[in-house]
Formats: sequence, structure tokens, C-alpha cells
Amino acid sequence: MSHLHLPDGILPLWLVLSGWALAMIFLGLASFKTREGELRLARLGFLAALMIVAMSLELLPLAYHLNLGVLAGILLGPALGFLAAFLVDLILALLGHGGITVLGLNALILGLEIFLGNLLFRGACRLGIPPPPAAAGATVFSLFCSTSLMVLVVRLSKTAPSAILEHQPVPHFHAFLLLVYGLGSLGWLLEAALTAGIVRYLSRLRPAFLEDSC
Amino acid sequence: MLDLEAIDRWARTDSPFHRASPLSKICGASLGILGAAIASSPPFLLLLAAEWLSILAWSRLPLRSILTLCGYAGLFAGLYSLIDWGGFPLALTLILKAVVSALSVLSVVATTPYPRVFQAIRPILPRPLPDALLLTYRSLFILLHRWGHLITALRLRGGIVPRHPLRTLRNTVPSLGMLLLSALDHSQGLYEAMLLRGYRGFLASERKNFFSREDFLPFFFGALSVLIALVGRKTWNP
Repeated sequence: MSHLHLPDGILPLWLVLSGWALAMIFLGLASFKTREGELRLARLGFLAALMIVAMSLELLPLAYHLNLGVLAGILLGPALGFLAAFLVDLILALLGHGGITVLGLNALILGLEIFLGNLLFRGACRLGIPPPPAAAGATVFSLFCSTSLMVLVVRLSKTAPSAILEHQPVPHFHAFLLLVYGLGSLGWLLEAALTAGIVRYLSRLRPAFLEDSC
Repeated sequence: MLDLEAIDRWARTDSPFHRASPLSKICGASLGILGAAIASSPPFLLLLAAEWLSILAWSRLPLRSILTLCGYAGLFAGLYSLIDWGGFPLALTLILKAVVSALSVLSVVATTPYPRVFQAIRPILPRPLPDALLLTYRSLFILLHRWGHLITALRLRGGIVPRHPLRTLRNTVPSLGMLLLSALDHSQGLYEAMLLRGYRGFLASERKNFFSREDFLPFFFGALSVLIALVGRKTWNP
């Protein structure tokens, strides 16, 4: 749910450009923060690849794609996590999954999920919550937020900029919301269970990987 | 599942379009996307789709697989048009715009080996990204292979049961955990190998920026797309 599958030429230009401008600012900040982290660069490559592998797994009855964004956020941190979001979306766009022009918006949506995942997991760990439930909670909340950002982008794309504040109704939008949040919430729970399971596996076998975040 | 190996194989065959430089193909595809954005009528968008399909057929790429890849883009454009239904012509326009854009992008990635595509976009990306992009793409092949083996092993041992999603999930978690650990170990090994080979924060890449005769092809087809789209916009008034 943290990915707009929309191709090029559909979203209005102002929205596409705003997405790119914001994504470029965050990319610049993230790149500046990670200039010396070569070890993490190799880890970034593998975790971004793992996210793409996870995205190729579809939960069939729900048509929901896993993405492991929160797990990447926990293991990479927010700055490298945002770079991972951009890389994942770029590679998917090159393969025809989502347009090149939508890349900025996609990076923001997935980047938000990764950023919030890291932030919430850290916060929960500091409160003394064990890593698996902390990861599960962080996953559900982050996916809710990134899905809401995706819904907002779709809503904005259906309205002229001058009419946004007038709250013009968009036909069938409620049905769209019902579909996205209804099916999506089941997917979030499954992804939360999966992320919690992997974090538990990791905390038993290699707890050192979680030390930075927890 | 992503068929990266097929795309990689297509990129390594030979045709005049394959021989054009990645930069010229990126410029041509950008013009193609611009054409799709400008065009607003189904007949002219069909013409654009036919143009890019002919280029890909001329480049000896399997059209059925290419159309499957573009089908994803068309499908999601169709779903998007359902949110705010404005009639069949508008839905068809959106779907065709998506397909033409996807075809233009595929004309780059399906005819150019990935290190050369990444090298061409290196100057426009912030410093760690081009190296990370190359590492990600390389890692993707390794992980897809490993994941394929893990899934086969799970299936053979009865770990994937479509009627019992929870049992499947319980069995899949350790496999993904194992894949993650292997990815983290591999990244450590890769970093050490990079250091041994003299990595100092920049991966060296092949430099080949001269223009060849074939470089005019992508520019020509990209410009033709924009021209068709402009003519369509001026003349089509249903």
C-alpha cells in the first residue's frame, strides 16, 4: 500500500513536480548524512533488494504486496532508509511498476513508512516494549500513515489546485477509501506479523543488528 | 515475480537500437513520456504505442513479454480511472498513456545492460546513490536466486499451504529471516571485498560517452512521438 502504481502522464504536473521537489530535498539531506557510511552502503543495497523481493510476493486473496519497509527502517535508520525507498521505487519504475514521473511521490510515501517505522520502533524500545511487539505496532501505524499519504495524493490528483480548499467531492472516492483501508488493514496486520516474526528471529540469532535501533 | 533475468538477457542482444548510447535512449524515452503526456486522444495514443512497439520489435525483443510488462501499467491506470469515472474514452486515454510511457521506459532498460543505464544517470544523482543503485541491482539477482531456492524447499516440505494462510505465514517468516541474515552477512562480505579492491567511496565505471550513428535513432523516435502528440492535440476534436 505504500506505493503508487500509477504510470506516467496521469497525475497533474503540479503534483508531480511538488513530489519531486520534496523528494530531492530529502534525498539531499539523506545523502549528506550518509557520506561516510560505506559499510552501510553495502547493507543499503542488500536491504533495498530484499524489499523488492518482498514486494514481488503478493498475498493473493487481498492483492496486497508486502514491502518490509519498516524492517528496512529499523535496520538502516531514517537517512539510509529514505535512500532505500528511492532506490526501490526507481528500480520498480524502470521495470514498468509505477511511472518515472511518479518516482518522487512514491519515494515520499515509502520514505514516510520507513522513517515512521524507525522512529516508532526506537520509541517503543525505549519504553521497554520487547522488539517483536514494538516492530508489529510500528508496522501497523507506519502503514496506516503511508497509505493515508497515498490516498491524499490520489485525492489531490482528482482536484484542481484552485479547488482543493473547497472540498469538491470526487465520485466513487468513498468506495476507493473503503477498498484501500478495508483490504489494506488486513494486509497491514499480516505484514506486522511478518515483521515481528523476522525481528524476533533476528533478536534471537543476531541481536547486534538491532542494537542501533533498540 | 520480477523477470529480471529476462530483461537482462534482452539487454545483451544486438540491434541498431541496442548499439545507441544509454544517454540518447534516456533522452528518447523522456521525449516519449512527454509525447504520452501531451497526447489526449485514443487514436493518436494508439499510434504512439504502435511506434514504440515497432521499435521494440525491430530490436528483436519478445513482444508478448513486453506487452505483459506494459499490461501492469495499463491495469493500474484503468483502476485509477474507475475512481472518478469520466466515460470509456477517458479511461482508454489514461490506459494508453500509461502503456506508451511504459513502452518508452522499456525501450531503455530492455536494450541497455544495467551498469550502462546506471552510469548514464550517475551525474544527476547525489553521490552515494549511483553506487548503491548498482549494489542493489546486483544484490537483487543474488537474493531472487536464494529466495527461489527457499520457496522451492518450503513447497517440497509442505510449508506453503494455500488453504492455511496462517500456517504458510508461520513457515515463511523463518525463511525470510534466513534470507535477511544471509543478506546482512553478504553485505558485510561485500564491503570487505570492496575495501580490499581499493574502494574509497566511489565505484569506478566504464567511460564511453562518444556519439555514434545509432544515437540519432532514439532522438528521432522520441521527437516523432512529440510531433504525433502535438498534431493529435491540434487536429483531434471529437
